[in-house]
Amino acid sequence: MLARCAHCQKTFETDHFGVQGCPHCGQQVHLAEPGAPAPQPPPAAGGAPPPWEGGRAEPEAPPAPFARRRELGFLRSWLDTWKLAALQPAEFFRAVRISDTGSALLFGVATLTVSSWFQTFYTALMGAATRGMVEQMLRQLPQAGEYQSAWVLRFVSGGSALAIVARLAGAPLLALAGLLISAGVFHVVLLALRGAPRGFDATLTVVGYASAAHIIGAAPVPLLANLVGFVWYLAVVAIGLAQAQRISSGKAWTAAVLPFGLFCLCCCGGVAVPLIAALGRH
Amino acid sequence: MGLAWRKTERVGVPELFALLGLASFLAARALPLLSLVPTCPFRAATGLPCASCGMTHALVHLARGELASALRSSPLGAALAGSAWLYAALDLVRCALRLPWPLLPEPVLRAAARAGLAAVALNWAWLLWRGTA
Repeated sequence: MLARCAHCQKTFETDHFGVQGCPHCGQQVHLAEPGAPAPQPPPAAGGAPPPWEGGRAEPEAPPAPFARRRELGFLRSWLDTWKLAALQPAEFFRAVRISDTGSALLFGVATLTVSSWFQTFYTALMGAATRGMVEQMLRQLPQAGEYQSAWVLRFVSGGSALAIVARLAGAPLLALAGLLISAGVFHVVLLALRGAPRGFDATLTVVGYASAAHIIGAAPVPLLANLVGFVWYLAVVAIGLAQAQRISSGKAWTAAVLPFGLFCLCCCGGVAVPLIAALGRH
Repeated sequence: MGLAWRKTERVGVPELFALLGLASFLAARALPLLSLVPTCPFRAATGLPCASCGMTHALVHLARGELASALRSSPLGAALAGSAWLYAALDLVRCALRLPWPLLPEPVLRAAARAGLAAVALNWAWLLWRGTA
Protein backbone atom coordinates (compact mmCIF):
# COMPACT_ATOMS: atom_id res chain seq x y z
CA MET A 1 0.00 0.00 0.00
CA LEU A 2 0.98 3.62 -0.45
CA ALA A 3 1.60 5.70 2.69
CA ARG A 4 2.39 9.40 3.14
CA CYS A 5 4.92 10.59 5.69
CA ALA A 6 3.40 13.18 8.03
CA HIS A 7 6.78 14.93 8.34
CA CYS A 8 8.18 15.30 4.81
CA GLN A 9 4.85 14.67 3.00
CA LYS A 10 6.50 12.19 0.61
CA THR A 11 4.87 8.87 -0.24
CA PHE A 12 6.38 5.42 0.10
CA GLU A 13 5.36 1.78 -0.30
CA THR A 14 4.81 -0.34 2.79
CA ASP A 15 3.16 -3.70 3.51
CA HIS A 16 2.21 -3.24 7.18
CA PHE A 17 0.51 -0.85 9.62
CA GLY A 18 1.95 0.52 12.85
CA VAL A 19 5.03 2.59 13.63
CA GLN A 20 7.78 2.57 11.00
CA GLY A 21 10.53 4.80 9.67
CA CYS A 22 10.02 7.00 6.60
CA PRO A 23 12.55 5.95 3.92
CA HIS A 24 12.88 9.60 2.78
CA CYS A 25 13.40 11.57 5.99
CA GLY A 26 13.90 8.84 8.58
CA GLN A 27 11.16 10.15 10.89
CA GLN A 28 8.87 7.74 12.73
CA VAL A 29 5.46 7.44 11.07
CA HIS A 30 2.39 5.88 12.66
CA LEU A 31 0.08 4.19 10.16
CA ALA A 32 -3.16 3.41 11.96
CA GLU A 33 -5.03 0.25 10.97
CA PRO A 34 -8.38 0.91 9.26
CA GLY A 35 -11.15 0.71 11.86
CA ALA A 36 -8.77 1.18 14.77
CA PRO A 37 -9.72 3.97 17.21
CA ALA A 38 -8.00 7.26 16.44
CA PRO A 39 -5.24 8.20 18.90
CA GLN A 40 -6.50 10.61 21.54
CA PRO A 41 -4.91 14.04 21.19
CA PRO A 42 -3.87 15.90 24.31
CA PRO A 43 -6.55 18.24 25.66
CA ALA A 44 -6.33 21.81 24.35
CA ALA A 45 -4.96 24.49 26.68
CA GLY A 46 -7.54 25.70 29.15
CA GLY A 47 -9.79 22.73 28.41
CA ALA A 48 -11.51 24.53 25.54
CA PRO A 49 -11.64 22.59 22.29
CA PRO A 50 -10.63 24.38 19.10
CA PRO A 51 -13.67 25.83 17.36
CA TRP A 52 -13.26 24.17 13.97
CA GLU A 53 -14.07 20.57 14.85
CA GLY A 54 -17.20 20.86 16.92
CA GLY A 55 -15.51 19.84 20.14
CA ARG A 56 -13.03 17.28 18.78
CA ALA A 57 -9.45 18.48 18.79
CA GLU A 58 -7.31 17.83 15.71
CA PRO A 59 -3.99 16.12 16.33
CA GLU A 60 -1.05 18.46 15.88
CA ALA A 61 -0.20 18.78 12.21
CA PRO A 62 3.31 18.17 10.92
CA PRO A 63 5.46 21.24 10.25
CA ALA A 64 6.34 22.26 6.70
CA PRO A 65 9.82 21.12 5.62
CA PHE A 66 10.89 24.79 5.74
CA ALA A 67 10.07 24.89 9.45
CA ARG A 68 12.74 22.18 9.87
CA ARG A 69 15.37 24.21 7.98
CA ARG A 70 17.94 23.92 10.79
CA GLU A 71 17.76 20.16 10.47
CA LEU A 72 17.39 19.84 6.67
CA GLY A 73 19.40 22.86 5.56
CA PHE A 74 17.94 26.11 4.22
CA LEU A 75 18.07 25.32 0.51
CA ARG A 76 16.78 21.75 0.72
CA SER A 77 13.95 22.68 3.10
CA TRP A 78 13.00 25.63 0.84
CA LEU A 79 12.98 23.39 -2.24
CA ASP A 80 10.93 20.65 -0.52
CA THR A 81 8.41 23.23 0.68
CA TRP A 82 8.30 24.90 -2.74
CA LYS A 83 7.42 21.58 -4.41
CA LEU A 84 4.64 20.87 -1.92
CA ALA A 85 3.13 24.37 -1.83
CA ALA A 86 3.31 25.11 -5.54
CA LEU A 87 2.64 21.67 -7.01
CA GLN A 88 0.53 19.87 -4.37
CA PRO A 89 -1.21 22.75 -2.58
CA ALA A 90 -4.33 20.83 -1.56
CA GLU A 91 -2.45 18.04 0.24
CA PHE A 92 0.13 20.42 1.68
CA PHE A 93 -2.23 23.03 3.12
CA ARG A 94 -4.60 20.36 4.43
CA ALA A 95 -1.83 18.88 6.55
CA VAL A 96 0.53 21.73 7.36
CA ARG A 97 0.93 23.11 10.87
CA ILE A 98 -0.57 26.60 11.08
CA SER A 99 0.91 27.72 14.39
CA ASP A 100 4.40 28.30 12.94
CA THR A 101 3.62 31.54 11.10
CA GLY A 102 7.21 32.77 11.46
CA SER A 103 8.48 30.05 9.11
CA ALA A 104 5.72 30.77 6.58
CA LEU A 105 6.57 34.49 6.64
CA LEU A 106 10.30 33.83 6.30
CA PHE A 107 9.63 31.48 3.37
CA GLY A 108 7.47 34.12 1.68
CA VAL A 109 9.98 36.93 2.29
CA ALA A 110 12.89 34.81 0.98
CA THR A 111 10.96 33.76 -2.14
CA LEU A 112 9.61 37.22 -2.98
CA THR A 113 12.99 38.83 -2.34
CA VAL A 114 14.84 36.46 -4.67
CA SER A 115 12.17 36.92 -7.33
CA SER A 116 12.35 40.70 -6.95
CA TRP A 117 16.17 40.71 -7.19
CA PHE A 118 16.04 38.76 -10.45
CA GLN A 119 13.36 41.12 -11.83
CA THR A 120 15.47 44.15 -10.90
CA PHE A 121 18.46 42.56 -12.64
CA TYR A 122 16.46 41.85 -15.82
CA THR A 123 14.92 45.32 -15.75
CA ALA A 124 18.37 46.84 -15.56
CA LEU A 125 19.55 44.65 -18.46
CA MET A 126 16.52 44.96 -20.72
CA GLY A 127 15.12 48.30 -19.58
CA ALA A 128 15.47 50.09 -22.92
CA ALA A 129 13.80 47.31 -24.90
CA THR A 130 10.93 46.97 -22.40
CA ARG A 131 10.47 50.74 -22.34
CA GLY A 132 10.12 50.81 -26.14
CA MET A 133 7.54 48.01 -26.04
CA VAL A 134 5.52 49.70 -23.27
CA GLU A 135 5.71 53.10 -25.01
CA GLN A 136 4.28 51.49 -28.15
CA MET A 137 1.45 49.93 -26.10
CA LEU A 138 0.71 53.22 -24.34
CA ARG A 139 0.38 55.09 -27.61
CA GLN A 140 -2.76 52.99 -28.25
CA LEU A 141 -4.48 54.52 -25.23
CA PRO A 142 -6.88 57.46 -25.64
CA GLN A 143 -5.40 59.17 -22.55
CA ALA A 144 -1.82 58.21 -23.38
CA GLY A 145 -0.58 61.51 -21.98
CA GLU A 146 -1.59 60.45 -18.48
CA TYR A 147 0.67 57.40 -18.71
CA GLN A 148 3.53 59.13 -20.44
CA SER A 149 3.86 61.13 -17.22
CA ALA A 150 7.07 59.22 -16.64
CA TRP A 151 6.29 56.94 -13.73
CA VAL A 152 5.39 53.82 -15.71
CA LEU A 153 8.22 54.35 -18.17
CA ARG A 154 10.68 55.05 -15.38
CA PHE A 155 9.53 51.88 -13.63
CA VAL A 156 9.84 49.55 -16.63
CA SER A 157 13.18 50.98 -17.69
CA GLY A 158 14.70 50.42 -14.26
CA GLY A 159 15.48 54.03 -13.35
CA SER A 160 18.83 55.26 -12.10
CA ALA A 161 21.56 53.19 -10.44
CA LEU A 162 20.40 54.56 -7.10
CA ALA A 163 16.85 53.39 -7.80
CA ILE A 164 18.15 49.91 -8.62
CA VAL A 165 20.13 49.76 -5.36
CA ALA A 166 17.05 51.00 -3.45
CA ARG A 167 14.91 48.29 -5.05
CA LEU A 168 17.44 45.60 -4.16
CA ALA A 169 17.81 46.80 -0.57
CA GLY A 170 14.10 47.44 -0.03
CA ALA A 171 12.93 44.13 -1.51
CA PRO A 172 12.78 42.15 1.79
CA LEU A 173 10.88 44.93 3.57
CA LEU A 174 8.42 45.36 0.71
CA ALA A 175 7.98 41.56 0.60
CA LEU A 176 7.18 41.46 4.33
CA ALA A 177 4.76 44.38 4.04
CA GLY A 178 3.09 42.80 1.01
CA LEU A 179 2.64 39.47 2.76
CA LEU A 180 1.13 41.03 5.89
CA ILE A 181 -1.20 43.34 3.98
CA SER A 182 -2.42 40.67 1.55
CA ALA A 183 -2.99 38.20 4.41
CA GLY A 184 -4.94 40.90 6.25
CA VAL A 185 -7.09 41.68 3.21
CA PHE A 186 -7.81 37.99 2.49
CA HIS A 187 -8.71 37.46 6.15
CA VAL A 188 -11.15 40.37 6.25
CA VAL A 189 -13.04 38.89 3.29
CA LEU A 190 -12.92 35.42 4.89
CA LEU A 191 -14.31 36.80 8.15
CA ALA A 192 -17.13 38.55 6.30
CA LEU A 193 -17.99 35.24 4.60
CA ARG A 194 -17.79 33.23 7.85
CA GLY A 195 -14.81 31.49 6.35
CA ALA A 196 -12.08 31.81 8.96
CA PRO A 197 -12.74 29.11 11.57
CA ARG A 198 -9.03 28.47 12.15
CA GLY A 199 -8.08 32.10 12.56
CA PHE A 200 -5.49 34.46 11.11
CA ASP A 201 -2.59 32.05 11.58
CA ALA A 202 -4.05 29.73 8.93
CA THR A 203 -4.50 32.62 6.46
CA LEU A 204 -0.98 33.92 7.07
CA THR A 205 0.49 30.42 6.68
CA VAL A 206 -1.27 30.03 3.32
CA VAL A 207 -0.17 33.45 2.06
CA GLY A 208 3.44 32.85 3.14
CA TYR A 209 3.83 29.43 1.54
CA ALA A 210 1.70 30.31 -1.51
CA SER A 211 4.37 32.88 -2.39
CA ALA A 212 6.25 29.89 -3.78
CA ALA A 213 4.39 30.58 -7.04
CA HIS A 214 6.03 34.02 -7.34
CA ILE A 215 9.42 32.45 -7.97
CA ILE A 216 8.36 32.22 -11.61
CA GLY A 217 8.90 35.99 -11.62
CA ALA A 218 12.61 35.17 -11.55
CA ALA A 219 12.32 33.83 -15.12
CA PRO A 220 13.85 36.13 -17.74
CA VAL A 221 10.53 37.01 -19.39
CA PRO A 222 9.66 40.62 -18.52
CA LEU A 223 6.01 41.29 -17.55
CA LEU A 224 4.72 37.85 -18.67
CA ALA A 225 6.58 35.92 -15.96
CA ASN A 226 5.03 38.13 -13.29
CA LEU A 227 1.57 37.71 -14.77
CA VAL A 228 1.88 33.91 -14.83
CA GLY A 229 3.28 33.92 -11.28
CA PHE A 230 0.42 36.10 -10.09
CA VAL A 231 -2.29 33.84 -11.55
CA TRP A 232 -0.56 30.76 -10.15
CA TYR A 233 -0.29 32.48 -6.75
CA LEU A 234 -4.02 33.29 -6.72
CA ALA A 235 -4.87 29.66 -7.51
CA VAL A 236 -2.57 28.37 -4.75
CA VAL A 237 -4.03 30.88 -2.27
CA ALA A 238 -7.60 29.83 -3.11
CA ILE A 239 -6.81 26.10 -2.82
CA GLY A 240 -4.75 26.70 0.30
CA LEU A 241 -7.41 28.78 2.07
CA ALA A 242 -10.04 26.12 1.37
CA GLN A 243 -7.83 23.41 2.87
CA ALA A 244 -6.18 25.29 5.73
CA GLN A 245 -9.36 27.03 6.91
CA ARG A 246 -11.51 23.89 6.24
CA ILE A 247 -14.00 25.92 4.19
CA SER A 248 -15.75 25.48 0.85
CA SER A 249 -13.92 26.23 -2.40
CA GLY A 250 -16.50 28.92 -3.23
CA LYS A 251 -15.66 30.96 -0.13
CA ALA A 252 -11.94 30.45 -0.62
CA TRP A 253 -12.00 31.53 -4.28
CA THR A 254 -14.16 34.55 -3.41
CA ALA A 255 -11.70 35.61 -0.70
CA ALA A 256 -8.74 35.14 -3.06
CA VAL A 257 -10.22 36.78 -6.14
CA LEU A 258 -12.42 39.59 -4.75
CA PRO A 259 -9.59 41.84 -3.45
CA PHE A 260 -7.56 41.34 -6.62
CA GLY A 261 -10.70 41.84 -8.69
CA LEU A 262 -10.95 45.31 -7.17
CA PHE A 263 -7.22 45.84 -7.63
CA CYS A 264 -7.43 44.76 -11.27
CA LEU A 265 -10.43 46.99 -11.82
CA CYS A 266 -8.15 49.80 -10.75
CA CYS A 267 -4.92 48.82 -12.46
CA CYS A 268 -5.50 46.19 -15.15
CA GLY A 269 -9.01 47.34 -16.01
CA GLY A 270 -7.86 50.88 -16.54
CA VAL A 271 -5.42 49.63 -19.16
CA ALA A 272 -7.52 46.80 -20.61
CA VAL A 273 -10.72 48.78 -21.30
CA PRO A 274 -9.17 51.41 -23.60
CA LEU A 275 -6.92 48.80 -25.22
CA ILE A 276 -9.94 46.66 -26.08
CA ALA A 277 -11.76 49.76 -27.30
CA ALA A 278 -8.75 50.76 -29.41
CA LEU A 279 -8.50 47.25 -30.88
CA GLY A 280 -12.24 47.32 -31.64
CA ARG A 281 -11.82 50.49 -33.69
CA HIS A 282 -9.23 48.84 -35.99
CA MET B 1 -19.74 36.98 24.28
CA GLY B 2 -16.93 38.33 26.43
CA LEU B 3 -13.47 39.61 25.72
CA ALA B 4 -10.71 37.07 26.34
CA TRP B 5 -7.00 37.71 26.76
CA ARG B 6 -4.09 35.65 25.49
CA LYS B 7 -0.52 35.76 26.68
CA THR B 8 1.65 36.12 23.57
CA GLU B 9 5.29 36.13 22.62
CA ARG B 10 6.98 39.47 23.16
CA VAL B 11 7.31 40.02 19.42
CA GLY B 12 4.93 38.28 17.05
CA VAL B 13 2.66 38.95 14.09
CA PRO B 14 0.68 41.73 15.90
CA GLU B 15 3.95 43.59 16.45
CA LEU B 16 4.90 43.21 12.77
CA PHE B 17 1.60 44.90 11.89
CA ALA B 18 2.36 47.62 14.45
CA LEU B 19 5.79 48.19 12.89
CA LEU B 20 4.15 48.35 9.47
CA GLY B 21 1.78 51.06 10.75
CA LEU B 22 4.71 52.96 12.25
CA ALA B 23 6.69 52.62 9.01
CA SER B 24 3.76 54.03 7.01
CA PHE B 25 3.73 57.10 9.28
CA LEU B 26 7.48 57.63 8.96
CA ALA B 27 7.34 57.12 5.18
CA ALA B 28 4.48 59.62 4.88
CA ARG B 29 6.48 62.16 6.90
CA ALA B 30 9.92 61.61 5.42
CA LEU B 31 9.56 60.32 1.85
CA PRO B 32 8.18 62.16 -1.21
CA LEU B 33 5.42 59.55 -1.53
CA LEU B 34 3.18 61.69 -3.72
CA SER B 35 5.82 61.89 -6.44
CA LEU B 36 6.58 58.17 -6.20
CA VAL B 37 3.08 56.74 -6.70
CA PRO B 38 1.84 56.34 -10.27
CA THR B 39 -1.19 57.99 -11.85
CA CYS B 40 -4.19 55.72 -11.32
CA PRO B 41 -4.63 53.84 -14.64
CA PHE B 42 -8.38 53.46 -14.04
CA ARG B 43 -8.84 57.22 -13.56
CA ALA B 44 -6.58 57.98 -16.53
CA ALA B 45 -8.56 55.65 -18.78
CA THR B 46 -12.10 56.37 -17.61
CA GLY B 47 -11.93 59.72 -15.86
CA LEU B 48 -13.49 58.10 -12.78
CA PRO B 49 -11.71 57.40 -9.49
CA CYS B 50 -11.07 53.79 -8.44
CA ALA B 51 -11.90 52.45 -4.95
CA SER B 52 -8.44 53.23 -3.62
CA CYS B 53 -7.95 56.63 -5.27
CA GLY B 54 -6.76 59.36 -2.92
CA MET B 55 -5.48 57.02 -0.21
CA THR B 56 -1.83 58.04 -0.54
CA HIS B 57 -2.84 61.72 -0.44
CA ALA B 58 -4.95 61.02 2.66
CA LEU B 59 -2.01 59.22 4.32
CA VAL B 60 0.41 62.06 3.61
CA HIS B 61 -2.04 64.83 4.62
CA LEU B 62 -2.91 63.07 7.87
CA ALA B 63 0.76 62.51 8.73
CA ARG B 64 1.22 66.28 8.35
CA GLY B 65 -1.78 66.96 10.60
CA GLU B 66 -4.00 68.22 7.74
CA LEU B 67 -7.16 66.36 8.74
CA ALA B 68 -9.61 68.20 6.46
CA SER B 69 -7.41 67.65 3.38
CA ALA B 70 -6.96 64.00 4.34
CA LEU B 71 -10.72 63.47 4.63
CA ARG B 72 -11.31 65.30 1.36
CA SER B 73 -8.77 63.07 -0.45
CA SER B 74 -10.25 59.80 0.83
CA PRO B 75 -12.31 59.38 4.02
CA LEU B 76 -11.48 55.67 4.12
CA GLY B 77 -7.78 56.33 3.54
CA ALA B 78 -7.74 58.82 6.42
CA ALA B 79 -9.61 56.38 8.68
CA LEU B 80 -7.30 53.49 7.75
CA ALA B 81 -4.15 55.54 8.31
CA GLY B 82 -5.41 56.88 11.64
CA SER B 83 -6.46 53.40 12.80
CA ALA B 84 -3.12 51.89 11.74
CA TRP B 85 -1.14 54.49 13.70
CA LEU B 86 -3.39 54.21 16.74
CA TYR B 87 -3.04 50.43 16.63
CA ALA B 88 0.74 50.74 16.31
CA ALA B 89 0.95 53.00 19.34
CA LEU B 90 -1.35 50.83 21.48
CA ASP B 91 0.40 47.60 20.53
CA LEU B 92 3.87 48.95 21.18
CA VAL B 93 2.69 50.09 24.64
CA ARG B 94 1.06 46.69 25.23
CA CYS B 95 4.28 44.99 24.20
CA ALA B 96 6.46 47.19 26.39
CA LEU B 97 4.23 46.58 29.43
CA ARG B 98 4.01 42.84 28.61
CA LEU B 99 0.22 42.97 28.68
CA PRO B 100 -1.76 40.07 27.14
CA TRP B 101 -3.32 40.29 23.70
CA PRO B 102 -7.10 40.87 23.64
CA LEU B 103 -8.99 38.12 21.79
CA LEU B 104 -12.14 39.54 20.25
CA PRO B 105 -15.09 37.15 19.85
CA GLU B 106 -15.68 35.86 16.32
CA PRO B 107 -19.05 37.67 15.85
CA VAL B 108 -17.39 41.00 16.67
CA LEU B 109 -14.58 40.32 14.18
CA ARG B 110 -17.12 39.28 11.55
CA ALA B 111 -19.18 42.42 12.07
CA ALA B 112 -16.04 44.55 11.85
CA ALA B 113 -14.99 42.82 8.61
CA ARG B 114 -18.41 43.37 7.05
CA ALA B 115 -18.38 47.01 8.18
CA GLY B 116 -14.94 47.36 6.58
CA LEU B 117 -16.13 45.99 3.23
CA ALA B 118 -19.18 48.25 3.39
CA ALA B 119 -16.86 51.19 4.11
CA VAL B 120 -14.86 50.39 0.96
CA ALA B 121 -18.07 50.47 -1.10
CA LEU B 122 -19.33 53.68 0.55
CA ASN B 123 -15.96 55.37 0.13
CA TRP B 124 -15.90 54.48 -3.56
CA ALA B 125 -19.49 55.74 -4.00
CA TRP B 126 -18.48 59.01 -2.32
CA LEU B 127 -15.40 59.39 -4.52
CA LEU B 128 -17.51 58.74 -7.64
CA TRP B 129 -20.17 61.23 -6.51
CA ARG B 130 -17.56 63.86 -5.72
CA GLY B 131 -15.77 63.21 -9.02
CA THR B 132 -18.90 63.59 -11.09
CA ALA B 133 -20.72 66.25 -9.05
